[in-house]
Amino acid sequence: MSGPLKKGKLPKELTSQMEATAAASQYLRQAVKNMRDFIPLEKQRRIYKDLEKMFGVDPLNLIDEKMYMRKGFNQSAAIMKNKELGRLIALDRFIPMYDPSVSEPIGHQQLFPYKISGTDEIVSGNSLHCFNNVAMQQLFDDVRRTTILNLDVPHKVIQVRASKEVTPETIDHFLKTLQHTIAGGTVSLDQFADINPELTRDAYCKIITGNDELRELIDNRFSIDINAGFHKSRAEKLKHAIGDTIHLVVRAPTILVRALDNSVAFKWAGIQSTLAFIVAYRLTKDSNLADISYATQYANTIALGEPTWQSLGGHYNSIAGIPFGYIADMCQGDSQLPLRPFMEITNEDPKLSREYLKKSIGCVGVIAPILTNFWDGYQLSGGANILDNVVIDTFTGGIFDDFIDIMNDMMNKYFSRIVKIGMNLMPTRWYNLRWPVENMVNIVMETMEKYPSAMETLKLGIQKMYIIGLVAGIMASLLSGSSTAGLWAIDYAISLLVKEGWCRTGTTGYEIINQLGLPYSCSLRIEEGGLPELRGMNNFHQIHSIGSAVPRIAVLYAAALARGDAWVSSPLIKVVFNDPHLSFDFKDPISAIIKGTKGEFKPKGES
Amino acid sequence: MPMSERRKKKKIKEFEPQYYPECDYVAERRRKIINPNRRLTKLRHIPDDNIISLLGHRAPGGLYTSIHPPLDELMESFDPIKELIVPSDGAKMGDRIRFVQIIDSFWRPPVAPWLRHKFYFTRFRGADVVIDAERTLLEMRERDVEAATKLLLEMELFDPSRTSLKSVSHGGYSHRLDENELSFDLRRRCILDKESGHIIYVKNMSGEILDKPISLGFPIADEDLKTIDVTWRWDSSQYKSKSEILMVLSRIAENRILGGFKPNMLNYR
Amino acid sequence: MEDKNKKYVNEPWWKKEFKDGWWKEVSWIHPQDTEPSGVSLFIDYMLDKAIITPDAVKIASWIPHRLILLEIVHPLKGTERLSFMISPTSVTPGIPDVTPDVIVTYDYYDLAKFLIGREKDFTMSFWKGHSRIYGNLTALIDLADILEVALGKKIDEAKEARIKTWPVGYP
Repeated sequence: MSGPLKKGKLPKELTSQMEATAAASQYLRQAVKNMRDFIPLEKQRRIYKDLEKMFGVDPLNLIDEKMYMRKGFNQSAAIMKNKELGRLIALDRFIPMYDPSVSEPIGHQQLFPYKISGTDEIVSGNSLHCFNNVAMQQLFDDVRRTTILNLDVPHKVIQVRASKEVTPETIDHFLKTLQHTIAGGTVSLDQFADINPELTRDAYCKIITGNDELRELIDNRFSIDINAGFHKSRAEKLKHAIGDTIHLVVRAPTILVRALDNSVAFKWAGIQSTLAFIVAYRLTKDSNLADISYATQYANTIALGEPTWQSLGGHYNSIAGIPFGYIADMCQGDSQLPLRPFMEITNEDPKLSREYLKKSIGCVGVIAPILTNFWDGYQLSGGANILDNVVIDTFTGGIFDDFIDIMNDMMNKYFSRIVKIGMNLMPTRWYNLRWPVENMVNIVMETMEKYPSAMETLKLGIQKMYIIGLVAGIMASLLSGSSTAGLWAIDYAISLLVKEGWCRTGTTGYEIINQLGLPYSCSLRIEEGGLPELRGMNNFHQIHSIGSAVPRIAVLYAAALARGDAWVSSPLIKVVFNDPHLSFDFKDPISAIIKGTKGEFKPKGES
Repeated sequence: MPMSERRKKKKIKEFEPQYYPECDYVAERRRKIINPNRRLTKLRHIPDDNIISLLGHRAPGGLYTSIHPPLDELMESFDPIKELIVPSDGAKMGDRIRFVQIIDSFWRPPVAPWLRHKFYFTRFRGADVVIDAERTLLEMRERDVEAATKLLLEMELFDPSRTSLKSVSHGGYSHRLDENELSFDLRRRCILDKESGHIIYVKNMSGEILDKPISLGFPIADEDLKTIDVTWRWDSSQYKSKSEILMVLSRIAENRILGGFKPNMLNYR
Repeated sequence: MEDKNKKYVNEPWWKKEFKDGWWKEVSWIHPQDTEPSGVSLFIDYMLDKAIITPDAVKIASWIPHRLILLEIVHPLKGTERLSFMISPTSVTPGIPDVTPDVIVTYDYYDLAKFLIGREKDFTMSFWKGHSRIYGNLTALIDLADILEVALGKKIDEAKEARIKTWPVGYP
């Protein structure tokens, strides 16, 4: 056999249609052919450089010359190491164990490593699995062991009912006692055994108050310093919003949420505080105790997450119960940047606005997917290892970052011109926001058509829809400062724009939530949605869709960024996670994740 | 002319669905595929036995497994709906439900999943469809699914290089193409016979090796695939320039948002 | 029921800026008694201003084929439609035979404000939400480049004002 490949030709009746329509606009095809002239421009893009490093070939190449010539699982050192481990364990216990040979044939497809966007790190897919990566687990634990209590109500009860004086000294003493009880120490004679402090090394509590004078009166080891944690402009707003109230942040020991449940952290915070009150203020166990106990544990207590529907089995502090606005508030990337509306920044300096986007959207793009993965991917579905490979798309391969680059460029060159006429936001109307979103989504679609390697990286439909939904939502929210507009954009992009353009969406029924999402986007009825900031994964129409929570969290953050707000839904949550003593770094999550991939991350809970 | 006569002259035109907006060749392809009154072009001939082998549900010449007696033999209670709807051949004979799953590659296939779904529902009866980003699964009675598969494989909706029959291991639709410009198959069910230039299936839909290889003819040339593309591409006809369809989509979205929020607002836009 | 005694508080912005007879002061508008229609305003501008500017012709030659449907919405008189084609350039009243690349819905007074030189930025009315488009944003920016260069903007400035991924000539 020799010579070129033979290919079949179609009958004239089929191919004539294109010629007929092309004749109607005879110049169109020539214009589109010019697209090829702009290929050199692609080489300057981040996505090109990153994918070239990941694949080792030109990412624009449609033909994979090594296809069917690869060595299956042997390509991945991580899998081969696992295989050997599995074999040794099987020999040890006499029951077969991990063995990749039983899996579906991977058909010699390329098992590529992932390049972390914005860094030079190239890591294996396995190390980004949330069970292998300790940093991801630490993030999960740090969130669900947190509870916020209000101290004003118990203080009032102690003053009025028990006639005890509350002074900065007594508060100091109470907090010191509480550090002991939270760590599992006994304070009452009824108790008889302490927990080994090594096990509860990471349990502590701190207070938050917006009143600087009050904070100075209390031992500064026991308080979160808003002035140090945030830029001055943000700190002022946060302090004003929190006011004179004293809130107590309790971090239960990690071993508690690990061994028992996240709801125990909520109860632990309440009961240990009550015990500390009894001991610190020398209260008698009379009828006042019921009042103090109620005031401490329930009166004004904020659990991060409310219980879910019973059938889903999520109790207090479970990820599904946490409102999306709270998850957005946990991200601290841009805490040290001055607070300004995004349009002003981007009009002034595109590099600075890119920095803002990197630290805000980039931070949400790491924290939100990993957190929601624990619910969607494990607690809800039982764990299918599908989501782990979906959620990392926001910070690997440079794909998402590249779209953020373009978005920033567009904002700088075009949309920020409205700053000149004294506007910071576009009007929140469907007609004003639809076409910027359409054009941004078209850029994403065109890019994926141009880059076969990007299509291979985002090999599942849900991965593509995940990225498209994120980009569309962020664009609309950044322009309008409205989170509802972001929801419109996400749903419009997935359920209509891409579905009609490509005739494809995600997996079976993936876009159902988006079809429902459009009519529900403005609804305040609780079973249909509610305020975008207070929605969560406990909404019936949002819960079952893979990765759908992340775009909905990102639009909230983007809207706050556009408005120039210091927080998304709660100033308290914003401050609570701006704590240098937390084990996971909420300010620079990607560095922590990279440390986790290398095994350098040291969790504090398990010493 | 008096009104009474004019009324007689006036003919009420029957409603003709337009099927799809936009006026270029991609939209024309979509209209052709969805419209059940338009004939498709036959590109290849595949014997019935080969189709049965490719599906792998029963041996060629074997009997159909039935799950209930033929409808004629059943004593059923009276139901006017049963009088109105004529059962399909498979239902009449009591066949079990079987399926055919076709994967469309991302790289210029002759038809794409959601379009395929519309095609199935406008042309077939007694069908149930599942759609993913890459696959479209059609469930019907066994006899009917064989007839449908014959149509699907022989007509212009099938290109052996970009469309494939896969029931298990259906990944690979958005992978890059191999050196012969065939879409990636985890189980490599089909190969290109370089002597004849035909695509040869060596395994059936479920990845079981066939007794004798089945040829599905030439892969269609790239230039021709461009002309029958069903999606707007960056280098052929750009989606962003299709203002008519964007207008329709925008209208749908706006109506949904307003209708969900406050239906009365739809009247006062 | 509408309150008849209620005064019309929100007077539209164009009533202040466009006094009666504003068109008589502009040299390139053909003299007429009434306010020119949107189509005649645009065609007059193209013939008397844009086509005779060498830089505008130059930048138009770099731009690929575009078909733009301009819908000029007058707040009192209603909508007029105009098809504008680039490479080759032609301006025709009415709607085109094939789907345009972009449908631009533009406020009459926003357009007049730009054409008579009071507003330097053709696209400003889009960014601030007065006007809207269906379709290709690049086509709109191409149109803006031609019109702005005809008004006196330099070609280099026009090039610089575009985003990196959409240089002049990008389809």
